Order: sequence, then C-alpha cells, then structure tokens
Amino acid sequence: MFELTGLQRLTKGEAARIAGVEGSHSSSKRLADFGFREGVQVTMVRPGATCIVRIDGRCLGLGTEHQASVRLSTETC
Amino acid sequence: MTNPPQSEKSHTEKLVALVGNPNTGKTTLFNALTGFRQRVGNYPGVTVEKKTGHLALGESKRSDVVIQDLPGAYSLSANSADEAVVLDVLLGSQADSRPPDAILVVLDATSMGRNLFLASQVLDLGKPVVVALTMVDLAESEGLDVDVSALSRELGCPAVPVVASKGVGLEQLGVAIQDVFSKVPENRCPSFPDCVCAEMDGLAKSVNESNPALSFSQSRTELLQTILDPGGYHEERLAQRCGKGLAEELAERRKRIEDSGESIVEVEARIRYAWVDRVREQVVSRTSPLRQPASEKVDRILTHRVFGLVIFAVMMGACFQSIYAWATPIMDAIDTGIEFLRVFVGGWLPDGAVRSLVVDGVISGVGAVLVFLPQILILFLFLAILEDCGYMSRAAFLLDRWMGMFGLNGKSFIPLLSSFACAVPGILATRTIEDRRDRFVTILIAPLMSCSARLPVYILLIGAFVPSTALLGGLINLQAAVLFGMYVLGVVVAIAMAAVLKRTTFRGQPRSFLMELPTYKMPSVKTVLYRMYEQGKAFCVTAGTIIFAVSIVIWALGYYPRSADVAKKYDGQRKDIDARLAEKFDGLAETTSILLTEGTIADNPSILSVLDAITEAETRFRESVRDGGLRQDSAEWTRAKRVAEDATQKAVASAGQFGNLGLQVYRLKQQANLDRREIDRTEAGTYLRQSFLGRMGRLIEPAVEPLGWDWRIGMAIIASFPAREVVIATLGTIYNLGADENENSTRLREKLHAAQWPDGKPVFNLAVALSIMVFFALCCQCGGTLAAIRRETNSWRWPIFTFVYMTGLAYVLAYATYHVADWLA
Repeated sequence: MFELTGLQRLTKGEAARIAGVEGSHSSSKRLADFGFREGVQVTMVRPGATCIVRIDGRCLGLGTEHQASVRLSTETC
Repeated sequence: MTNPPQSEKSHTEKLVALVGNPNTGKTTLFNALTGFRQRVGNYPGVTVEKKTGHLALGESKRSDVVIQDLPGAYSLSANSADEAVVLDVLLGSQADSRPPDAILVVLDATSMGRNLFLASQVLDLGKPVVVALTMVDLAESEGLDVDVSALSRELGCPAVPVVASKGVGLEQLGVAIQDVFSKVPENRCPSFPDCVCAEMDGLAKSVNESNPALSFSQSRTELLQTILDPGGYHEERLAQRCGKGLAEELAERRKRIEDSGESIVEVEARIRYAWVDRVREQVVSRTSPLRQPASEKVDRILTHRVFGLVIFAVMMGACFQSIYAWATPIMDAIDTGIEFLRVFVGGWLPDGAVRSLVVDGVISGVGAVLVFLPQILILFLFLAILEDCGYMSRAAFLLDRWMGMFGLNGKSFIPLLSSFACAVPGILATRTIEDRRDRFVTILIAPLMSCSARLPVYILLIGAFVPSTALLGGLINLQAAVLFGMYVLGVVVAIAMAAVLKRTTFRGQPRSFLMELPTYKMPSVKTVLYRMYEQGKAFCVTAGTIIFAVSIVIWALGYYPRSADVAKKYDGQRKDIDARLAEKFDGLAETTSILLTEGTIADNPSILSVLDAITEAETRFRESVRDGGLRQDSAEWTRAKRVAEDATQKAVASAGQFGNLGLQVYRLKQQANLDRREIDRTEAGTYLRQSFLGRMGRLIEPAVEPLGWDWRIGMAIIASFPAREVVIATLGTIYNLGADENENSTRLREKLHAAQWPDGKPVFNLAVALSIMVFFALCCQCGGTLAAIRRETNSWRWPIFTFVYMTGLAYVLAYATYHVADWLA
C-alpha cells in the first residue's frame, strides 16, 4: 500500500523510500538525473521550504516544487 | 605541461573526452593524467572552458593521446548550458572540437547510483569507453566495497580504480586508455522496450533518408533523448538541422509509445535505473553500517536558517573589507610602477604624436586597468577558497528563499556574487542555471552589481565632495556610508529589474532549487593559487586588450585634429617665459654685488649647489607628504614643511654670499617652471576642446546639462562607455592636467573643485558628484560585459537590451538624484 506524500512530510532525520516521481516532464526528468527513483531511500537532513536531503550517499538542496514531486512510500526505513 | 593546438587536425593524435558527475574528482584526475594544473571546484559546473592536455605516462613520456576535460554533468539530456557543452563535444558538434575517439567516464565509488545513470547514457553513444573509479579510499572508509572486475564485466569496458591525488592507479588507467582504441566497443547498455526501440530505428531511418547530407549519428542516447524529451535540447538541435516536419513526426512517435502502455516521462529513468540497480548489486557491497557523514554535522550550523545567514553575512563583510584593506598598498605599488614607466618611456621618446599615443594612450589606459588586478586577485582568493571547500552551494541554498522573493532561485546568487568583482566571470557562471529564463534574467541584471572598475570613480568623487562626517556616534563615516550606498543602489535596482523581467519578458515561476551539496574538504593551496593565477591572467588579457584598443581610439579622438596655430601660440608663450627668465637673471646679475668668477648666474657652480640643496629639501618634503598621506595644514604636514624650510635656510646660510642669490635664482626658476606647466595644461585643454572628442562633448552638452554636468563631464562619460575604467584618465586630460591622474590625485580633486560654468558658478558640487556616481553605478559602460552577454545568449538582442535599459535607468535616476540633492542643498 502506497500513500501519496511529498518530501515535506519528513521530519529531521527521518528516512523513507521513494514510491515515484511526478510533476512536469522537465522537473521529473531532472530529479531522475539526480537519482530520485522508485525504491530508493531518502533521508531528510534539514526540512524547510528549501530542504536538504541525503540520497545515494550525497546531500542535495531541494526547492518546494521538487519536494512536492517526490512521492514517498509509507514503508519505514 | 603541454597544450595541444585548438583544432586537433593531426590524425595520429587520439582524442579522449573526460566525462563525469560534478564533484567526482574528475578535474583532479585530469590534472594527474596530463600533469596540467587547472582549477578544481566543488561547486557544480566550475569547469566551463575547454581544457585539454596530453596524457603523460611515466616520468616524462608524452603520448599521442589528448584528454579533454568537460564540465560536470548529471545527464546527457542537456538540462543546463554546461551539460549542452558536454553533449555537443561528445557528439562532435561543438565548434573547434572534433568528435572524441574514446570517452573516459569517471565514477565516484561513494555514489555509484547517480554516476552509473550518466555512464549508461555514455555507453549508449557506442564509442570506446574506459571507466575510472574514483574516491575508492573514501568508499572503503564509508564501509563500501566495490568489485572492479565485476564492474568492468557488467559495463563491457575496462574499469580502473584510481586515487588521483596520490597517483594510485594512473599508470594502469593510462595503459587502458591507450589500448581501448584498438578494440571494438562491447559496451553493455540497458535494453529498452520494443516499442521504444522501433521508434528509435524509425527516427534514424527517416532523418537519414530525408536529410542524407546530415549523416545523423544514430547513437542510442541521441535518438532516445530526441524522442523521450519533448521540447528538450536534442529535439531543438535536430529541428535546427532538419527543419519543418520533425515536430509532427516526433509527436506521432511519442503517441505510439504511449499507446503501447509506456510513459514518455518515466520510461528512460525506469529502464536505466533498473539497469543501474542490477549493476550496483553485482558490484557494490556494504561491509559496515552507514554513519552520518562529518559534512552533515558541519551543515547543522552552516545551513542553519539564522546562524547560517549570520555566518554568511560576516564572511561576505570580511571578504569585501579585505578587498579594500589588502589591495590598497599593492595598488599603490602598481601605480608607482606605471608612473615610473610613463616617465621613463616619456623621457626616451621624442615629443609628439607617438609619445602621446604610447604614454597618454597606451600606458595610462592599460595601467588604469592593471591597478585593479590586486582587487580581482583578492576577490578570487576568497571565491576559490569558498568554492574549493564546498561552501558555495551552501550559500546558494541559504539564499534560495530570499532570491525566490524576486523571481529567481538560489543558483543565481553565485554569478551575482562574482559580478561584484567583474560581471564577465559572473555572466559565465550562469551556465549552471538550468532554466533559460532564470539564466537570462541573471545575465541581464549581473552588470548592475557594482564591479571593481566603478570603485575608483566612487573614491574620487566621494573624497572630493562628500564631507568626512561621523555618523551614529562615530560608528560609521558619511563617506563610507555613501560608498556602501552605491553598492546597495546596484543591488536594489537589480532586484527591481529581476522582478520586472520575471513578470514580463521572462514570465514564469523560478525553477525549483536542485543542487548537490558536496562533501566539505580542506581547500587545496595549489588549486586556489592556480585559480587566482588563471583569473588574473584572463583579466589582464581580456580587459587589457579591450582597454588597449579603447585607449588608442580615445587617445586619437582626443588628440586629433592638431592645429598648427595652437602650437604656434603656446610655443610663443613658452619663449616669452624663457626670455623673461633670462631678463630677470640679467637684472639679478646687475644688482648683486657678488662677483662671479665662474660662469653666469644660471650656471655658476656655487649657485647650482645651493639650488641642488634646496631642491633636495623640497623633494624630501613632497615624498614625506606622499608616503605619509599627510593632509595639508595637518600637524604632521606643518612639521615636515618646517623641516624642509630649516634645511633650505641651512643650505642658504652655509653657502655664504651665494646663499641668498641661490635662493632668488631657485624661486625664479621655480616660477618659470610653474608658468611653463600652466601653459602646457592650457595648451592640452585647448587641443582637447578642438579635438573630435571635444566637439562630441559640446554636441551632447544639451543632453547632459539636465543631470547637472558640463560638456567636459559629458566627454568623460562618452570616453568611458567602452570601459568605465578610463574615466579617471579622461577626466584628468579634460581638466587640463594630462591623462596621468589617478583617483588619489589631490590635484584632480582640486581641479574639479575649481571647474566653473561660463557664468562663474562651480561645475561640481555634492549634487553633481552624486548624480555622476549614480550614473556610473547603473550605466552599462563595459564592452567586455556586452560581448559576454552576446556570447552567452547567442543574440545581439540582449546586449542591446542591457545597454539600453541600464543607460536609460542611469540617466533617469542620475537626473532625479541631481534635482533632489540640489533641492535639499
């Protein structure tokens, strides 16, 4: 069972698996370039309008729209 | 250190393109492989220029393999200008670069997922590929084990682990590169669904049939991106070459794929990442649990919403303070050197047009630019340290929210910061901004940041017309506050302009922020110094050539036409002075009771020795005033003056009967020298008024009068349009001082104070000075910036737009400033 949640739902230090990436074509393509894809674990390092997440061993700064484009699985990590 | 020719025409040389994600140690590897030191940056996309070097094997062996370093890229879909360069080079469509014979892909062992995504696109190009696995030591310390032979097997190409900074694995990598050309590529790429493959084959066939001359490369990457990225760089690129009909064909192909149940948006990511995950499973294993990286601990403070901003503000404050505090002594030294060169060359060349061209035109013009070199170097020292340690992307992250308020995102901050030194590198730094609208707006507002070339104008006019009053109980000085105000003015107007542009021409929400925050590391001294050297060299070469050309043009406009009548008139006046001096000497000889046994009163050895002693005392006084920066009538100045007078009296007293006579001769000669200099100045002024530049100045006087300026200020402004740095030299010439004045020249300041309108009213006052400064703060007076905008936007439209809007704004706000300040006064 998947629930549609954006990255904004994650609190500091919380991790989740990505269920999918949505949004505009260019935005989702860019997120894919940076490693956002189904099944990958993402950890919230600093929440906020522009947040910092850790994915694939690296930290990324992410704006609001991109955060909203990432669907998260309800599975806990 | 070797540099191949720009167009590698030799068929014996093999070209290898170096590709990888940003921050994977790609540039460090390039340096290690070629022995060619260059800038290494943590900030994504620092490497923007084309960099090539011969692969160096062993001690001094130079191979026939040329390695070309490319900007960091996350994908070959070309989302930013930087990535477009990578793609163009790989496909052989980049100007002055032939298609590479092989590709060296850098994979960061600590972040294999994202790195393999790019590698899969590169493998799809069908070229021979070699993989260099970097950060192996770091991966081990993070508990990751990478099986290199499995990696090589899974990718179908050689893979070599390297630690470039320690030279580990370089020899093996060099051998692998040399061997790769002789083998047929066996790249193992992800398989795409049949419906996608059918459309790729169909597109390749139809393009080649309808445009046989095009010889479409048919690489899978190119075909895939063209079909799966609607409106993207690949489609745009192919449409330019194929013309009409492509859009309809692609729409049909995309529809067929969608009809087969595949999503255009997701299919590439899904297929590639499934492949990536499979490869990673075979290659990477975790030997110890994941720990929180040290960088994240540092980021708890540095990216904190409040503390992070405070630390950022303090760092920026310290940076700008150092630029001014540290640069001044070096600037003074350069100034002295240039002055020495002027005097030396001026004394060596015969009087006339050639001397004027070399001394007043070239040395003064180019020298005016070189004076700013220390500021540029210090600014780049700071930028290089911040970039190399990985802080820059944190600053962009912190400011994203603030930049969003006026329609831009945090990525625009770094180019704007660079523009405080010079707009040209600032404009180049916009290449990492993915969104075209955001990038263009950043380019168009970057020249509004007060660059280092505006500083001399501010210093000259503030020093001359703004009183040095203490404000806020002595916390700040009014002069410093006005200087700061000029910087703020540029920023405020830039913000307003960005808001206007984002609501009109470049309407649209800012692209959401997405930026890698690389792991912090100690900045490398070599890298920082090399970056300073590189930027300093670029500044001298580019600015120097522009200034050189402008200096010659301005000199010619200000020098010609030369009327013989003017020369005749002033030569006559000079002869009169000589005649009058001779007469005065005669009169002195007649009235004195001293009998001269040797020579005349003008060349008697005893009198000459008195003159020498007085001249020496005067010279010492002038030097102590200059070196100590003594203000006239200050206690130190009075003390130095008294010392000089005592020395003069002593010399006079010790010379016995010749003492007083020597003093009188000295005074007569000094007066004659002053008269001659005054004639020189008036003559230069007359020539200038009659020159083409002078005529243009009078022509535009009605346009500049509303701003409170006279024709001479107008002329200085015309002269400084190609490069604002020349204005000080031009003001110096215009006010009859010759073109050797710099911003610390008290004489130029005095002359500006003394300048009058025909009705006797002073030309300069606080309102006029503020009006000129506001004009300089906002006007686009830089040929180099306009050329950079032309190059980066690939259109003349935007440099023309920038020039018109900035000049228009400068005029209107200078007008308003003059009238408001005049009314307040």
